[in-house]
Amino acid sequence: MENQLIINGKRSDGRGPTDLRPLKIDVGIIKNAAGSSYIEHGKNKIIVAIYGPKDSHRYGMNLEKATLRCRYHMSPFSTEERKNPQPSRREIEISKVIRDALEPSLILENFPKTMIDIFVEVLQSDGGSRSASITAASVALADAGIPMKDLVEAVAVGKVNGTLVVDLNDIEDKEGEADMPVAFMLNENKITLLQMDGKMTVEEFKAGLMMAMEAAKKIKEIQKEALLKKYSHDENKK
Amino acid sequence: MMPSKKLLVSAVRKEQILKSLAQGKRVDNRGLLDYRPLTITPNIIDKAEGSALVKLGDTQVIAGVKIGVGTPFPDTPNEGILIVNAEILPTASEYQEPGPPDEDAIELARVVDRGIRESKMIDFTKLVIEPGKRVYTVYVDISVIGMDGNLFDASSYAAVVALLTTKYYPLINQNGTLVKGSEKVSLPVQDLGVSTTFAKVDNYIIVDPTWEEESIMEARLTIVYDKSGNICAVQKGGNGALLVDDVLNIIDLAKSKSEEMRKVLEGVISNA
Amino acid sequence: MLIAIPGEKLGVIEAFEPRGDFIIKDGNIYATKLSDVKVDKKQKIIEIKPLKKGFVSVGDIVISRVDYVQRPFAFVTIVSALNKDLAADIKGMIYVNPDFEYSPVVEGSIIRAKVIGTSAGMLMLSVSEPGLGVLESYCNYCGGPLVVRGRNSAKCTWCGMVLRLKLAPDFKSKALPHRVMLD
Repeated sequence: MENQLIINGKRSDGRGPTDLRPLKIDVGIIKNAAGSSYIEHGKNKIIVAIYGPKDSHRYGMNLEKATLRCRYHMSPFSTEERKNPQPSRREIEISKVIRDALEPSLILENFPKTMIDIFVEVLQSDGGSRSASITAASVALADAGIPMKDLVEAVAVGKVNGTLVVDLNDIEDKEGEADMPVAFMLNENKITLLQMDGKMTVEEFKAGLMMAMEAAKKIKEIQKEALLKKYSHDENKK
Repeated sequence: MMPSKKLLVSAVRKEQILKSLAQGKRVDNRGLLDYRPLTITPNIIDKAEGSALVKLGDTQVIAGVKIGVGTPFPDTPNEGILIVNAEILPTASEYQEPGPPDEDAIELARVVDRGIRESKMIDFTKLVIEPGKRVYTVYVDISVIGMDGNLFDASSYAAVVALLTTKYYPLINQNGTLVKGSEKVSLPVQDLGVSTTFAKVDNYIIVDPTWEEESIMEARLTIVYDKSGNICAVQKGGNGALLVDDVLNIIDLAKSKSEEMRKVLEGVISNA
Repeated sequence: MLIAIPGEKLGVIEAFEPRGDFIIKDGNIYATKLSDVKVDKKQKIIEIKPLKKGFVSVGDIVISRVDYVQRPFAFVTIVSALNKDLAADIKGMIYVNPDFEYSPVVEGSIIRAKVIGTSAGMLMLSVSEPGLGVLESYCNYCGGPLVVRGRNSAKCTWCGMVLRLKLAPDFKSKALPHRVMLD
């Protein structure tokens, strides 16, 4: 009855349990934004733009540091069925967890009474869009020159047919037994996002966390490469 | 999009809280890993099929269950529907404005929803009237009426107790028309997910944070364990980070704490 | 050249003196921005220079417009800054000593000022150093053009009012487009 998603140790898209999907990041794709990035992670295609720090007059602004705002939005054409462009409850929750995942990495005290906006637009969605959004947004924030303690990289681990696997694709996300997106600040050995749904034993949870950390290290290399590519190119032009 | 409401905790008060934690005590005199007094009153709303009022210290949450009939989602034609909605009422605190649920309330609803859904608490395949056409819709509406931190656990307890005490008239299909059954039945319950919430304040891991503690915390972690000791939902919250070791530590603490709270919840149900 | 990524460890504080934009944690030096890093092994200095122009911060010289003066403060909007990106208008204020007879800046003037700190969440600016002060202004009584009449004072050619201002060496007069006369 249950779909066999892992056959002879290979996943539905031919990957092994710890392999990442193809991951590509471009930096600086929107001229007007302070910083921006584009990520392709599996079938995910996501644009992130950073605006600010800008003056904030709103009630609730912080006198001691910059206020971070985040909007995660899925384009109506990003899914199989047209998605209502109104923000759904899922999008509102994800906006919040992305913000909470990025804020610990930033040094916001330098910009009191200002606002930094993170706009995430999912052009095409696949499994792990929130993880990909965080990975891309951290790069965009670096591109914007917002001071930070470390880059943040996120990846999901999950359980599919009883096996722990990293970086779930759409079908594994929907039909697997568990899905756990995690975001790391690797320098400080810290976790800035952790969600899980499904069923996992305590041992699986702990092993999964370590698998996610290994995958995050690989993602960090790709983030670095993307930033270096943009900036060493810019330097050569001068 | 805007960050959550936090209490402004004065530097003196913060120092007091931290000093107390250093001595292994909270400002309200409980231990670092103690819950506040918890009272759960099931069946407090007669008109709802199931309901419960939870008081966790000064946090007060009321949950009501209504059973309706709806068409199933196309991807799950043979399953009933669960809809969880949460609202932080303007009665809850002076900072709460009336209006549609804000991101805090939406996160709350979704985390409670995940705990119920992923623990497989209710066997939704038994809530089908006509496969593919008509199924029961279980609405869980959560209203936070008083706010003093740890809304996640309070709301989750209110929701699960309300579901466990739900009694409704089944609908019977008689030649295409639905007829109300004569006797009330309970929901097909098969598991119980128990939520526990921990917070990291300074370097201390505490359970069941108050609003004050939540306002100065680094981050919190909510974990739901099912009957057989599997983790079925996790949510990190707050705009700080947790060390990897903190997470591993909390996972273990949560397991024993959830067993303790499970006994409390089961006690409430058996007396209801 | 060596480019550092935010969060990249650049060395230990015992061995090098860091300069520029960085943070120190557990004795290690980390970059906080994409930076150009130059290591001077002889002098034991690591110079960490951000690749992107930063935001306005303490020590910067900025050009601002004076929005209004409400002693003891003059409220200004920063419109540009040397070698800095301004994502949007940033507000700041200048402390005007209430014991002074006159305010060094007047409403509507364009000034060159230095950022000296933050207070109550606003950038605090100062025009007291040489070279700083009013770059462009008109008479704040009638809007007429001004002529410099000596150190730190200017006279309106329309109404004859003498204004006392902190003038920048490259001060230029301007006038409002309409002359409003009231009898």
